[in-house]
Parts: sequence; structure tokens; C-alpha cells
Amino acid sequence: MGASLNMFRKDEIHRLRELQYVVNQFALTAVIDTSGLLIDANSFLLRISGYDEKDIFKKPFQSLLSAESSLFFMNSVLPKIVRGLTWKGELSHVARNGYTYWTEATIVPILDSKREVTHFHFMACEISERKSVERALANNSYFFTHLMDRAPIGFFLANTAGECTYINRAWIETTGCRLRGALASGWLLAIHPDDRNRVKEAWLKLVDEGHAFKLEYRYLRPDGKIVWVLASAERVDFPSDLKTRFIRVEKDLTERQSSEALINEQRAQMVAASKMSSLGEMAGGIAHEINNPLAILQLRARQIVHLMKGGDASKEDQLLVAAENIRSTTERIASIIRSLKAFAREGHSDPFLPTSVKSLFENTLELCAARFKSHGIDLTIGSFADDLEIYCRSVEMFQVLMSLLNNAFGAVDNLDDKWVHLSVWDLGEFVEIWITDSGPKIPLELHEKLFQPFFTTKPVGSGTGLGLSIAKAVALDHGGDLYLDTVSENTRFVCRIPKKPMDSADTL
Amino acid sequence: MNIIERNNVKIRGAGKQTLILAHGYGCDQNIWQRIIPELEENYELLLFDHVGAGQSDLSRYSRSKYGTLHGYADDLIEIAQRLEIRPGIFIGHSVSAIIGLLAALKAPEHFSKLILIAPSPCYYNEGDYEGGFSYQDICEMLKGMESNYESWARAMAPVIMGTPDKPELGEELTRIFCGNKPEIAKHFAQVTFLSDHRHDVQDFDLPTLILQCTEDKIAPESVGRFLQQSMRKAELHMLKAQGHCPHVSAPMETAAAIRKYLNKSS
Repeated sequence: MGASLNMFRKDEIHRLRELQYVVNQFALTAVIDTSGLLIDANSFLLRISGYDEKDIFKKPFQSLLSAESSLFFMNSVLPKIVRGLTWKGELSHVARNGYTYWTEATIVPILDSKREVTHFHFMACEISERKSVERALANNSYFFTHLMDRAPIGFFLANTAGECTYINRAWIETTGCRLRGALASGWLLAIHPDDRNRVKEAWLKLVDEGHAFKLEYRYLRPDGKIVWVLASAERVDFPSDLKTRFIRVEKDLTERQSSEALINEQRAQMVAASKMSSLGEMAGGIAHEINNPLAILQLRARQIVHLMKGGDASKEDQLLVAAENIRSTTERIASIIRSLKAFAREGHSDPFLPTSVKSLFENTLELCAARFKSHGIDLTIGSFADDLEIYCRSVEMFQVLMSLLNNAFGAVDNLDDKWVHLSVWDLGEFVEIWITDSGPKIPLELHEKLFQPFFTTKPVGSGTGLGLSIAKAVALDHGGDLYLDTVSENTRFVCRIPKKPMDSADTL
Repeated sequence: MNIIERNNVKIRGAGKQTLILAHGYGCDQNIWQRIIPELEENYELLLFDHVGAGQSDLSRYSRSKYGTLHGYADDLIEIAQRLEIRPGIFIGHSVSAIIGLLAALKAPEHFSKLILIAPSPCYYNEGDYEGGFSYQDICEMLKGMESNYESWARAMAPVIMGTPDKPELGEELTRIFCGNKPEIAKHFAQVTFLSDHRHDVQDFDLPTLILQCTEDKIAPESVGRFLQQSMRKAELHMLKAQGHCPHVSAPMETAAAIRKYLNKSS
């Protein structure tokens, strides 16, 4: 029995040595007496703290700790362990050379048979690396929160069950819905009632079946405003905690729509400016156009008064002629004013309609023929079928023609040989209108600039430089084109407009 | 960053006033189930789990942050800030009563009134103060817990519930305790039972209702009286309910006391 006990003891000592060897590979250990002084330390602790065995003996345990941990040890740890309670937690240490390191430590009180504490065992693992990873993580998390709250895009996060758990500041600002209202499925109530079911269905399909979606829908804000968003949502499997979450990103489209509105408004202003400019250029001619008939009206009216005063019934025929003349003249004025009104109107939202080329020309000439005539410019029109039609917005086409005629006027006004010729070609699917003037060819280097906005050869103050660019935009809008005929001996613009609605397949 | 997920925050009920319900040691928000029907018709209820409990994010548990009750109080303030509760009525059970009080001291703008169910600022006797346990008793209890959490839970849960006439409630609490992660439960127990916040309750001046049970082994009547005398605007309401968890064992009586207090003071 003695031999086997010896064997056991020998084995036990061997086992303890082995254990000690293993512990020394990864843990700091120390023994502390009830006064808080170190009475033993293992090789790992000595190595990491930089002290010798004799240096450390009977030194206070706190001399291994940082100032902060030392205070914490005195106030929070010591009162527990002296009562026989085990303490676990993290401590920060300062080595002899000033290097700081962290440990995750356990301090176990050892009790005697009378349940009195006799000493403490300290065992700890170094966790400096983990602490720096934690700091980096905290930094990342701070950065993420900061970023999220400043991102101009709505961000929405839901847990595994599809319940909202996070929204960023932009989301709150866009929707007017706070986190409290958005939690779980509360956010659905913030969506416009007409869109709610559609969004709910898509969301449930994402949560239940993992179908990502991209949708445009509206929020109805508490202040009554409606906000359009473009949302894309997807399922994300987080690698860190193996949980599935759902992320939705929402782009506020109101801004895009308002910038579209702004562009439209600016376009309308430009068109109006260009129109008013041509109108200004035509004003003299128009005044003449209206003055002439007015003079006739005055003359005839005076004549009638004179005849009536004379009471001569035989002058009845003359009276009739005068009255007829007044009627036709007023009609002429009315027609000019109609054309003016038609020209001045904003026509960008008008529907496209089959429009008679003849009536289009009549309207245009009504406004400018007089001006050409008064400047001695020969304005002629080639023949074409009376019933020829193009598919257009007549007000816009009106402006195109007026613009081109105005340019032609300006180009030939100072020449000796002044003429402008309009001709119309029926090309089956298209109609081409040629505006040719007696001016010389436009220099090659100007060809490209010609259709750019604000390009003008006219003196500053007369003309906006927008006429051709707008005319070209209108022609393209109609599915046609406007270009300079570079082959022609004279200046010739060609405006090509379709006769029928464009088949949508052709436009692609 | 995701506080809602961290604390498994839920909002239910309808009403202009928000009641923030904070569960006590070893439980989670499900402990309020019996009393919720009594309150949710008239109040908005904010429910959550402390980190380390229930469906909270256990990976966020850190011994240093939750080494004192201030760690939990900071979480509560963050929840109230995030959800823009200005102010709410705080209802805390047991250790959460003190957590709510610490939060209200730090961020009073989020709290208008406090209702403390079976609160205790210090569980052990010291001088004239009768906490209910000797310090040695607490240490022994914690040591027992350290060596075997589950047997501790089986022994202690029925005592905490304190309803020998309804043993099923004690069993229910045992099941809840046994569902906890032992390492966290042991640490939270140390933090709870060794805490001493008597100086924090001195001159506390938000309107407070203290609901004191009879035969409460954890927070005896002497503790309720101490609190009422220490605080400036505290009312002490004695419940007929026995034990330490009246919201579980006597939800109707508890809810009635809460409603009466809120109706009277509003």
C-alpha cells in the first residue's frame, strides 16, 4: 500500500508540475496575502511585468495595476474578495518599463477550515489585443453611427422577424415619422394609403422568401406633404452573429422631381424669351399691318358719317361698299390678333395633332409678311397640296417657322438682292420645309455652333441667340429634325416633320 | 448603435402617456404579461430586456459596463433618448427600481414620475438600516450561486416569488431563472445584491410611488419605509400581495394601485 501511495504521490506531483508548466504558457498567476501583498508570481507574470522574483515579493498587488484599475481594485474588488467572494473582470496594468497591458482576471479567495480567508489566487489572461480590437470596433461603430446620421439617404434596418429596429436621420426627415412610430411595423402607416398594400406585399415577400425589391412609392407626411422615394431592399445575413436582417435604402425623389420642374420652368422661360424677342423684331411690321387697316377704317367711317349727313339715298351703293370694307378690314385685324395670340401662347403641353401646312403658313405670314414687304424683301412660297398635313403642336411649329423667317430676314435685310423662299416637299412619311434666303453660305466653322444656345451673329441686345437651338429642340421633339443644308448655294435650313404619329418601336 | 435590438425594445398599447416597464433580476419583459392587459388600453407601454436578459443582444454584455447599476441606467437613458420619451412614467421592479432612479437622476427630462415595485437601495443591514439580509448572508448566497447556479435558482426563485399558496408561480420563476446564461446571471446577482445606493435616494425629488408587498423576503417593509422617508415626494402604498413580485402574483391589485396613483396625480 505504501508503495502504491508513493506512486500516487509521485504521479500527483508530476501531474501538478505538468499543470504548472501548461499554465505558465498562457496565464499570469500570483498569490496575494490578506494584506494585499504579493507572495508569489509565475514566470509569465514576471516576464510580462518586467519584474524579478525578488523585486516583486511583498510588493502591493496594486503596483502591477494602472492608476485607474488600482482605484477600482481598492473600491470594488477588495471588499468582495475579503468576504470570500470570487471576483472576475478586466484590469489594466503597467509594466516596469511603462508598457500597458490588459488582463481578464479571476481572483479567488482561499478559505481555511473556519471559513476565514487566508490568501488569494490571482489568475489572468492577457487581452491587450482584444482590447485594441474592441477599441477599433467602438471606433467603427461610432463612425458608422456618425455616417448614418449624416448620409443624405434614408436607411432602414429590420430584425430577423422583419420588424423595424433602426432608422437614420435622413429617413426621419424624409418621412416625418419618428423611431417611436416606425418601430416593428409602425412605419407602414407612414406610407401613402394608396401605396401601402403594394409596399407591404413586397416587404412580406422579402422577409418570407428573401425576394429583394426596388420600388418607387410615396410617404404621406404628418404635415400633409407627399414624398416620393425610390427604395431598394434586401436580405443580409450578418456573418458576426449569424442573424438575418433586412436593409432598405430609400432615395428621396422629391429633389429630383423639383429639379426636373426647375429645368422645365427654365426651358419655358427661355422659349418665352426667345418668342418675345422675335415678337419685338416683328413689332414694327405688325404695327404697320394693323395701322393700315385702321386708317382705312377711319376713312370709311368718316365717309359713312358724311353720306348719312347728306341724306342722299342714291349713295346707298357707296354706303354698302364702305360698310363691307369696314367688315373685311376688322376681320383682317382680328385675324392678325388671333395669330399673335396663338404665337404668344405656351404650347409645350398641347397635344400633337394633324395640322394643315397651308394654315400654318397663313398664320405665320400674317405676322411677318408686312415686315418683309416694307423692307423690300421678296418673300415667296413654292406650291404644295392644299390638304398636306403634318403631325405637330401647331403653336410650337409656328414658333419654328417664325424663328427661321426672322433669321432669314436679318441675313438678307442689308443685301442688294433680298429674297426669302419657302418650299414644301412631301416625302411620304415626312414633310420637309425649306427656308432659303439670298444670303451667302454660312461659313463652315460656324456650322457646329449654329444650333447651340446663345449663339448669335446679331448685335448685342437684338436677339437672344436661342431661336435656332429651341427650333431644333422642337423639331427633334416632334420626331423630326432641323439642319443646315450645306450643299445649297444659298443659306438653306431644312425642317423635317413627320406626317403621322411616330411608332414607338421606331423611336427606340 | 442599434439600441432597439440591443435591448429588444417593444412598444404596445395606446395612450398619450408612456409607461416604461423595467423588469427585475433574472427575468425579462415577459414578466409583465399578466399586468399588460390592465394597462395597455390607457397607456403606451415601452417594454425592454436589460442587456444579458431575454432576447437582448448578449454579445453586448461586458463585465466592466455592467459592473455597476449605472451601466443599466445609461442604457435606459439611451432608450428614452432614442425614442424621444419626454417625459415618461417609469415602472421598475426590484433592482430596476434603483436603475430607473439612477437614470432619472442623470437625465430627469425623460421621467415625470417613478413607480417602484418592491424596491431596495441596499439588500443588507448596516447600522440602523434594515436591508433584510446580513452582509454575510448575501455573500454566502452569492458563493452558493457561484458553485452551482441552477440549484441556487431552484432554491431561490420560490423564495423571491414568495407565494407558497401558489407554488406554480415560484416554479414559473424558476424556469425563467434557469433560462439565463449562468455567467451573466451570477455577475448580475453580485452587482445587484452588493449594491448600496442609499445615498442616491436621499432627497430624490421626482414624484414617486413605492409599492410595498407584505412578506417580501427580498425587500421588507423597513426598506419601503426607509425609501419613503429618504425621498422628498414619495408615497408608500402597502399591497395585500405577498412576496416580491406583485405584478405576477397580484396583477389586478398592482395595476389598480398604479392607475389610482396616476389618475390622482394627473
